[in-house]
Amino acid sequence: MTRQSPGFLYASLRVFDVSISEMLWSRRTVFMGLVVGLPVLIAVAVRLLIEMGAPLGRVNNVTLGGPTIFGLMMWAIFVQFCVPVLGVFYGTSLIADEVEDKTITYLFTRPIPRSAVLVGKYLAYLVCTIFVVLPAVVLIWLLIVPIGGSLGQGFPDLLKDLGLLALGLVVYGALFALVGAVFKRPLLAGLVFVFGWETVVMALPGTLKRFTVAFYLRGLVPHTMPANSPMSIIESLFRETPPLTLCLFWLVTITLVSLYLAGRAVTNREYVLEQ
Amino acid sequence: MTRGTRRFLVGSSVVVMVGLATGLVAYYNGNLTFARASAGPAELAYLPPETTGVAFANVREIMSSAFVQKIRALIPADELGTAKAELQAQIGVDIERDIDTVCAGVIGTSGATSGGVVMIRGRFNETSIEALVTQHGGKVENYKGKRLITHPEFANIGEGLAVHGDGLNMTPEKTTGALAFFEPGLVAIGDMATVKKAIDSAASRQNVTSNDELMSFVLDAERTGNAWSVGRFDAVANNPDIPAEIKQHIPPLKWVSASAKFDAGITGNVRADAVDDKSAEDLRAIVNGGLAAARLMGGQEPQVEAMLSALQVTGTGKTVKVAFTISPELIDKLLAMAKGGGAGHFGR
Repeated sequence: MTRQSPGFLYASLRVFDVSISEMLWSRRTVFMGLVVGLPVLIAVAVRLLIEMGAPLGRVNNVTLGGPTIFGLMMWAIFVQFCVPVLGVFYGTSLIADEVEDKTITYLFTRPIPRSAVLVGKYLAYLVCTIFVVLPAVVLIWLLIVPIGGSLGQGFPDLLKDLGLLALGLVVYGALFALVGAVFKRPLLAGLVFVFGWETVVMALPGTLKRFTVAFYLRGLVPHTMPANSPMSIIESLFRETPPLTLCLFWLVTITLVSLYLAGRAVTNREYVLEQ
Repeated sequence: MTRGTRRFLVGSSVVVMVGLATGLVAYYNGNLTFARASAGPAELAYLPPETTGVAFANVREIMSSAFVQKIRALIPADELGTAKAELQAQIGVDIERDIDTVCAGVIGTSGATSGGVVMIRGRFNETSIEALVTQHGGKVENYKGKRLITHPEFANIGEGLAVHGDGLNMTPEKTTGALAFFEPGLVAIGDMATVKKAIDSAASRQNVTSNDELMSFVLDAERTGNAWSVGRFDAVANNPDIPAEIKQHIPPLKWVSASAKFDAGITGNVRADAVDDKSAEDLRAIVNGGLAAARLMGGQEPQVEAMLSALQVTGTGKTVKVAFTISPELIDKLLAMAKGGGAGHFGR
């Protein structure tokens, strides 16, 4: 009697179940903990200083309130750095790690679609990163926003920030899963994309920025950054904010297309393990 | 999934849920009636729900601030003393010590329903004020248990409102000014119709505190200043008396609020809510552009640069906020210039 192969969804969930613990308790998570934990420590330090009577920070004679500091941290630390970096480090390693450890053979000999392996690992990456990043953001929000601000007034922005960060992890993860499935040195390619292509193109005028994830993701950021320096004013002149629906459309499209192409690449590629 | 992984995921979820629950409670707590009733000045209970603008000043706090003390030093002492003494002799009020707060409300924008009322809280000798007014031809009437004092001179207030408002639609009551003692220590001045409306609002408990939108601005402004104002900008823009050519150029703003805290220096915030995100973004760009232009034209003046650098433009969605700070040192320089007759310039 032949047993039917498990369906795509069931197979993905089984792979997810196996991979989540592996991913969560890996060395990469220590790196993620440092990247995400540092802003939390900064928030704790700032709050302790304020409680001990230190005056609110001033930049160019402007007092920085809690909501402004939180917005700055979201923009500068999480949206521009943490989310893309976590996407690169985890997304590119979904399949690459298995190839490096020479364990991919065991996965591919299972009677499940190869793309289900990718999707299962992708889901494990999502859960891993979302359950680390979002609590950190919430802790920072609870610590920082009440300084000269109001939790109630900042709550809608928190919801938008959490959604934005989760969406960023989804999109960058999918894109770099494709990079990991296609390129030989996916980590390098990913870092060049994030810190090379996206950084340069976003600062230039023109339509090239539409070929980045950051353009659409930053269009969703609810915080307007204080513009009291000539550079930030110049940047704001070149800054083009696409409409919300367009941002969401392209982010979802990039995710789905990247996952589809990554699945196809994993299915069709022959992985030759180095001896 | 191992047990450790499960525990980690549960713990993370708990942290996020606790944070979201805290935020949700804080968000809705500001909108609950019993919480809102204790927020904002008590005078808001007298402003009807159709109020389109509110202004408030904590006169006591402002008058005792270091900033006002510096201003006072500029005014010749005998001039100030004479004015104070005259007023005190006439109405028994020391304007520097007896007035605690002033709250003003504007109702409607045009037509018979528009008007204004100013409520002053402090220590007043009601008997001597009433006697003074009746001595000079004023009349006293009762309205729902409150004493209203009218005087032909107060009609000038109404006339002033008529001239600057929409004179053709003014009712006789509207052209008559009135002074009323709402409660011990609270006197109101305005046109008769609005003063009566204020009394009705307090009696029926149907007042401006039920306007969630306006109250959110009031709470925001109250937190950041001891003098503030909040107003419906679109109510002004929709005034039928404003020519269409001018209306076209009025920015698409819905609400505007301004607040300032007077202590050793002045810290202020101006907030504008546009009708949509695009208008707000355009407005932020205009303000930032204006600041950049001012910095370029300000040249090397350190005080000008410091003042412009103290302007901070922020805001999200439909909101545009501008925060500014005038430091005590800058105020000293400005006052020194004023004292010196404006000669010379900053810094050098």
